[in-house]
Amino acid sequence: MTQKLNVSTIVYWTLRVFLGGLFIFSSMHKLFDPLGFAKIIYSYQLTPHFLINFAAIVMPFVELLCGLLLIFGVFRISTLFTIEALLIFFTILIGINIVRGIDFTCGCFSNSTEKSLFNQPIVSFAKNFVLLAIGGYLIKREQTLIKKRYHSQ
Amino acid sequence: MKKLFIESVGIILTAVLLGLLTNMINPAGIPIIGDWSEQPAQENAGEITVINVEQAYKIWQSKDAVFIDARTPSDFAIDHIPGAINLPRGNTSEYFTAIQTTIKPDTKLVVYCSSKDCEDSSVIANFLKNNEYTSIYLYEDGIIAWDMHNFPLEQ
Repeated sequence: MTQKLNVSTIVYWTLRVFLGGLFIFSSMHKLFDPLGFAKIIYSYQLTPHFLINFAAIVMPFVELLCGLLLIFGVFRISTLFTIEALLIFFTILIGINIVRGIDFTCGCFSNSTEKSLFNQPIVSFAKNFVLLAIGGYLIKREQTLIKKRYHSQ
Repeated sequence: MKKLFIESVGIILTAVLLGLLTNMINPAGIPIIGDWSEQPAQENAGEITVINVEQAYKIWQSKDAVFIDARTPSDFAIDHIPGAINLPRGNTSEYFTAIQTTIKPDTKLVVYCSSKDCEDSSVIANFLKNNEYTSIYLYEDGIIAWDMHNFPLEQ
């Protein structure tokens, strides 16, 4: 039983650090090159022009803050729900453009418009579902921990 | 549920505040509202002449024109055609104010970006045309083709 608990704790921490780290990593190129990221947002052809720069300035900090809060365990459930909401939002944007047949790159981990495996829209679309599943698992785990604490009191 | 909502909104608002404050001190910061309304030149060609890599190189050799790099400042910092001036899309007006006084309206301008896949060069070419420049060349193969021909680059 103890061994099972340890394995599940290791899985939980690994996934928490992975998801948090991924959000921090994906914010970095956007923080240092907001204009490059603004061009990526423009290429999605879904954002009103007056909002493009604002989104390019703010979005990296939403990702960075969520990543840091998740790793350091501050407002864990709220952070996870925010992350899930962001992932659903990104997935819808990517999905709409795949259906519309727009030529765009994800911009998830780089501002480059060169086509590579990781910035292919379909790969980003699939990757987001994996991340959503990880976020969902972490939320469930957090809720279980809260219930356990409540019952043990 | 209410706590969850308040905390989530708090996270977003903190990020908005941090983003706006950092953008003010970031050397690569951008205006909060950018000018993205320019259309690519192909839709409104007129006086803009499209040239290929060999023609662009000949013009560059003749030192007869000013080369305009329409890519982002970070791409420009990595490498660019020697002597080129950066006029990026997104905060074009700000950069244009700085260079406008040094380039006369009848100067021959060659505008480029990365490759045929990017439309930045055509957007900037159109922007320059709308700002009274009369001799504009659109080098649409961009810096990738320039590099593939082993033509010189500057860092």
